[in-house]
Amino acid sequence: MLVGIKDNFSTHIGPDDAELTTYYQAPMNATVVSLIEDGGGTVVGKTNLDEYGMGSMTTFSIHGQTKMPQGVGESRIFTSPGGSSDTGGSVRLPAAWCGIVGFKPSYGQCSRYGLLAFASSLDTVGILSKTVEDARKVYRTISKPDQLDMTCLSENFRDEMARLIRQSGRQISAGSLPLDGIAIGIPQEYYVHELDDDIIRVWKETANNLAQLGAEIRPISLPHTKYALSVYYILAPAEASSNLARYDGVRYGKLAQTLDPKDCEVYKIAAKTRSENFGPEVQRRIFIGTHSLTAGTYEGYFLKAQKLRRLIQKDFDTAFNLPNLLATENNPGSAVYNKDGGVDAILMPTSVTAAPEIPTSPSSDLEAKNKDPTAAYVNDIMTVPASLAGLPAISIPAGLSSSNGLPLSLQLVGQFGDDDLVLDIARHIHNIYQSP
Amino acid sequence: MRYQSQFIVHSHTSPPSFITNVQTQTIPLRNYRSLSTDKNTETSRKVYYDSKGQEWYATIGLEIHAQISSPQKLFSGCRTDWDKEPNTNIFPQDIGIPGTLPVLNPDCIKKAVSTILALSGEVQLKSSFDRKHYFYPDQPLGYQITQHYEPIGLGGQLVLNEQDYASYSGEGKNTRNAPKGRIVRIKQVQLEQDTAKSFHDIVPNKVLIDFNRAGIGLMEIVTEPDLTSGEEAGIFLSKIRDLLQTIKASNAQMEQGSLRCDVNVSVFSPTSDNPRYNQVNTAVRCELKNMNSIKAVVAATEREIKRHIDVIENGPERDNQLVQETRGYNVKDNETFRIRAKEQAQDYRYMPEPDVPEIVLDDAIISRVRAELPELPDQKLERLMTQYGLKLEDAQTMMDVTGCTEFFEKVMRITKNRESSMAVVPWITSELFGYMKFDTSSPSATKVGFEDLKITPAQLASIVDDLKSNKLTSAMAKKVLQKIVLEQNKGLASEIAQQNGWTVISDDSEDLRKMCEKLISNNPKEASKFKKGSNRVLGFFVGQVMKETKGQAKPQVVSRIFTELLSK
Repeated sequence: MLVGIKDNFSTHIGPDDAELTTYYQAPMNATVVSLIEDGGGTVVGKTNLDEYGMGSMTTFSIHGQTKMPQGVGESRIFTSPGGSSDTGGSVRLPAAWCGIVGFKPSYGQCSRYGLLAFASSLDTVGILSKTVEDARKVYRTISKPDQLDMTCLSENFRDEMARLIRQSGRQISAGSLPLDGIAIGIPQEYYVHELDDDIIRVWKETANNLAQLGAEIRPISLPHTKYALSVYYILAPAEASSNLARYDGVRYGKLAQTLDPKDCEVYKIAAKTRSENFGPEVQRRIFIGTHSLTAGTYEGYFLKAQKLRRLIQKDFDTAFNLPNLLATENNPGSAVYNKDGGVDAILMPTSVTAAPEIPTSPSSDLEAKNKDPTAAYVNDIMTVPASLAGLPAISIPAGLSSSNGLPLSLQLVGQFGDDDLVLDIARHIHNIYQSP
Repeated sequence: MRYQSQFIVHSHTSPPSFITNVQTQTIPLRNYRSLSTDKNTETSRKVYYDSKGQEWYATIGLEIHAQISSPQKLFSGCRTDWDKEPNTNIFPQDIGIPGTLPVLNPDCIKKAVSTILALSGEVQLKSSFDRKHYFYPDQPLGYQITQHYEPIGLGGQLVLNEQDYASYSGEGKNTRNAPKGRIVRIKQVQLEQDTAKSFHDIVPNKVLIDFNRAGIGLMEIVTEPDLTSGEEAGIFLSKIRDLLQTIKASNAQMEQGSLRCDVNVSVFSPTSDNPRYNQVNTAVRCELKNMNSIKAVVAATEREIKRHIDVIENGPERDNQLVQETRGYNVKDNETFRIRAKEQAQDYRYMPEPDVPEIVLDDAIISRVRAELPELPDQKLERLMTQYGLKLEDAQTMMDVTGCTEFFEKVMRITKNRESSMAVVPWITSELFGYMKFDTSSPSATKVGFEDLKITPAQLASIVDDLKSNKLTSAMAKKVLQKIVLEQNKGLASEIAQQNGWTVISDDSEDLRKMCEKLISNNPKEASKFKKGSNRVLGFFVGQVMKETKGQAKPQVVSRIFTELLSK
């Protein structure tokens, strides 16, 4: 298998790309890169991304914007398939817009060692591929315990998860119809007014198709979803401001030179280095994150966001019929799950629209950004809840837009550790649209 | 020096003329409950005086950083060898290489648990790490991984008892009314990473950084403000150093930087007119940093106390209000100086560390660590004194030398003279210590290398026993010891004596008596002196016999024979 690796993974083949690490060559391979190579995969190159992974459209890449491969949209965005990372949707959104498969496994399934950290508690190694089976192949290769990442699930934990899933007695393709006994939830809170009609259409269509395959479709409620975007844009920048603190130019990267002896104090050199070399979006997020960690705002922002994050996770736990082993481990006795009335997976859109247009000129983009820098954040509204809860989520192509022919996609989310079931059901959805 | 004329602090070296006999004064604590723990029902504090003779007291709390003795760093598998070339003892994680992640070293947790238990603190079953952010070139991640919100240890205490004050050799020793003891409460014990080491004075206009130290595990031990003088801070530091060394949690050498101490100092006077300074809670506090010996901590603290009293007394006129700040200490001038003011204090933007899961311990683990704890210094001192009837000074002297009490106890198990430790102790503290080397690298000139001495407990026991049973004279015994230590003779005392033909002339030997008679007849002048009442001349005769017998006669026996003969 030929694999491209997103440029925020450490590899021996070339420098990691961000302005501050221009002259930097990683001394090691990321664990997942080694696992792909050991598993027979060939890393053919590294792929573009927004600086430090902040964004989904490569608007903020130092190499310029990536465009869609389809002839249909020279001006549409594209991110290339292969090993990638998903913090709030960076695998699932590009996949959705390009009409390919984008899989974000449960948090901790794949080692983050060698992945440039953006928001450590959200960063997940993800996979972009043409088919669900390709994604599964890569996932099976890279989902391994790793001594170099304490948040990567241990062998024992994985065994315990497997036992829990076996215990549930659930079996796919056991009945006369392939999805007999499988319950799929449709969360009402994701039916937002920003949703394109086309996306609403394929969402309904797919639900009906799954029902025909034997699945039971149930409306569910995830009441704290409305806070997810705000929570994400407090927590992720906070962690980013911390993770990016190491880029001070002292040990690697470009160090700002100053001839003015007044500015020789160490913190001034660090400030100059960082101001000169971080791009505008990175600086914006560092400011947001620094602010929410500052004494006085920490309690009102960061702590509150953390509490809400737990409520969002609890929403999901209440909806599923499988307990969340992570929640059980951390707070024994507090596991909430709906053994009888719960669902196995949740179907929702990946994005509110098909691929957005690239602004006609960089300056008009900058203007728009300055006017409302958070407008683009709305793109993440469908993807961040699963990120905050650490759940496995996959974006699956679901036909083309009737108005402009652009790819449309849906997202399937499962309980923590239930990655294989998510892939199994996703394969059926993918089949629906591959063989009309 | 500048302040000396403006106020006077009572010390035993220079008592001020207007106070005659007060050194420290016993204050019933019910009058000053907020000063210290309720358990200190009565204790005494050092009293300081301003120029008007008003009494002042100091309130001191310590923040101690002890490097954890573990072969690996706290969050990387990198070894902690301290003698490596600069920037060679580094793993990618230690210098913040992108993509690297912290992996907790469980040995450091074990050492912290030992420390908390040794300080009678409560090991927390759940604790976690946080990031403390600040930019500095010696801080490779841009943050330090520490335990801000949920430290691993809470509470605890270290009791300074009478022996500790007695053994303290610095200023203040043997002062009258010295405190009989003090309970110093521990607020918390937390784990954190050490920074790299900066060198500012090797290359002009450049800061050199050695990352070997970056990431080594530290324990921060925070005390409540229960200490009352610089000397007492020194006693506490020595004691916690010995404790950490005993439980092998830290090498705890201030000179090497494996033990560091920040001192928080404030002063108050219950009789002061200044409302801010008539109680301890409102007094301005300064933090002293970067002192590299216990002696320097004592001196800097005392200096800072005196500065506070002076500034409070004279401050407003001199536009020199006491402000909360961090200060350093210049040993040469014996002055403290401002490093940074409180307004410049940083906001560390603490954030839970997302890369390290919380530490979860259970009672079984804690019990296991407790069971593995060695005997603690206080327990040991008491046991040595009761079990062997040792004097406090002898027990302390031996405890100060690594491996010494273990050796002593083995000798005591082998010797036939178990009832009398006093027959054994001088052979260790006077004779064997004489063969030890001085550690020239340490300013306190401690002796080292007891464990390197080539002598077994059985050998020393044989010397003591043979001496007691008159098979050796003490002169011979010393020569036997020399053969063992300097020539590495592996034999027991009797074997070595035999090899060298050293035999004790028996008490009733005719030869010995004849030798004495001959000496008296050859020295009639001296003999007559004795008869006139001079006992000193006896020494002359005994010396002559010892010389002729090459030390094989026992001086007491010879002396008895002479007395007998001369008294006839």
